[in-house]
Amino acid sequence: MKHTPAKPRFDLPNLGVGVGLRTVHYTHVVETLPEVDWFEIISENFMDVGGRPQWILEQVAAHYPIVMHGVSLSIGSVDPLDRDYLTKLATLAQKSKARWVSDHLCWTGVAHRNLHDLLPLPYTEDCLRHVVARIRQVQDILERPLVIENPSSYAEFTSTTMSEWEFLARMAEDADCGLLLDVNNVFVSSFNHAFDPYEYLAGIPMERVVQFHVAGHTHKGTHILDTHTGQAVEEVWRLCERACELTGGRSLLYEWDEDIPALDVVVAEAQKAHAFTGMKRPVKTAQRLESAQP
Amino acid sequence: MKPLEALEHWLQGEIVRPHESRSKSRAERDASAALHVKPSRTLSPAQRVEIYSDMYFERLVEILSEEYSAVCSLAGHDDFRRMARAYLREHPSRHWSLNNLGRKLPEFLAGKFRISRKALLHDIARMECAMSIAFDAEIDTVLTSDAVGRLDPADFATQRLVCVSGLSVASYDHAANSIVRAVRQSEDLPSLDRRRTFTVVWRKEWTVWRLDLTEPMYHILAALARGLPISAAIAEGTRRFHGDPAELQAEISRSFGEWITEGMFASVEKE
Repeated sequence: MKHTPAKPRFDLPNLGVGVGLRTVHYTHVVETLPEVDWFEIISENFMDVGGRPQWILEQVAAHYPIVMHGVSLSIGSVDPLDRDYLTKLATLAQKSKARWVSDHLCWTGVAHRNLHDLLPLPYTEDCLRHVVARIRQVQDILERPLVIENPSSYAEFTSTTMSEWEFLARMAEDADCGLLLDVNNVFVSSFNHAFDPYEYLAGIPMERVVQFHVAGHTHKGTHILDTHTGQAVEEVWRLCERACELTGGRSLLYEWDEDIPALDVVVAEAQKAHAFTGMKRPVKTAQRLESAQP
Repeated sequence: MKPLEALEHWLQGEIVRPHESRSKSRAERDASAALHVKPSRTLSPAQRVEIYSDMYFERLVEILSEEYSAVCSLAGHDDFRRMARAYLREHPSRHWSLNNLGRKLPEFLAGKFRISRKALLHDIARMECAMSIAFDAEIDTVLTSDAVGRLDPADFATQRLVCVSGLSVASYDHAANSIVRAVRQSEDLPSLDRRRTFTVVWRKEWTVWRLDLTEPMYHILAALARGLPISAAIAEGTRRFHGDPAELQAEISRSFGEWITEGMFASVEKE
């Protein structure tokens, strides 16, 4: 079925195909400046640390567009927002000239504990109001739209009253935020919770999608774990293809976080996006240097 | 308590409880989980919660075992996990950064927890903790030999050498440096017997280094790190030396030269 791609809600560029900036690749990246369109950093890896990570970020940000992706915002927690964390996040965004800042629809702990996991939320009216109010607060502090990623999850709550895609759509509209559509997470959750992943895509307001994530996962037979390891399965790339049709293409990031191979291998996997989605090829180094300037 | 708050407290409790206290019976877990979580085609509500609980402990143990790889190796797999479980019960993570997760492990090992080779593990944990702190330290400008060469010894009574961020000078009750090196490089272990040793840990550019010190030099460098003026720091070392004064003078000159060349000082301050 032919679709007119959704016009983006936010004036954020399509950066092409990127990969995550990971410790094992630091030296290779700064020494060889590989042909990668852009890098996504895990925000917390560069907050409250000095030394090499700080220096590496300066080098990479001078040559590539950077996008920040966090894991500790805990937007769904009932604990108060961590103002100190948000101040540091805002400072890092400025310093790295981040094109946008994203985190997950999840919570990471309550009662001032941190479990360092992306825990699921119940999709209820009460939770929706809570999350929307907090996204608005974060956006006020960051002075830019926040981009929220759909989670992968292993548990569904009895109190849930709406689908995840309905929750995301209403959240994005009410908070006026962006969405990071992780198509592997859609696939993982569709298996774990037995829903149709294409129905999920159809329910997402594509005009609010700023970025895609694609990754590998681990099938345990009874459930799928979102492990970010190895190659993405074809079904995930097919979902990505559909998401690209619906959006007209957005910045795409390939995540590989366990048993990380050489950067060339990660980049080769990421570039499958070209075959599946018809996305543009990487820009030349000279152009990239130019486009790294905000 | 509102429904969302109650649900988050419940799930967090179910995730950490198996690792922090006596676990509920299977029937209790099933009954509790069924109130809040739907079953899937293949998993019961309790099994779905267990996925999170298992991942929680494995993730944090992995982080501790990476930071304390020598402690982990010397303690052995089972004892390290037992220690990690007790440590996390006492010091659960309360910060978004994982960098601080293991910072209280040396203090924990100095406490009541029972484990074989406890004194050795405590020493090794202190050294590995110092290495982590040095790794994460801010980038400093480093004092050059030329800048130090321009100092007038007549001012040493009021001048202080400021150490680079994250530098730690410590004494140990075992050959901690040799043991950490042997374990991390898979070499034969040196003697694990008690023996007093002195080591400085610091970062030069992007690499964390460890250097063994003699006792007088340890006292001098530790005094400098505490902020004592140069003359007072040298006096700290001189008091502990009982040999030929010329020999001490030569060792002090050689050590200062090495400490400066190896980038242990960031600046000179005047009192």
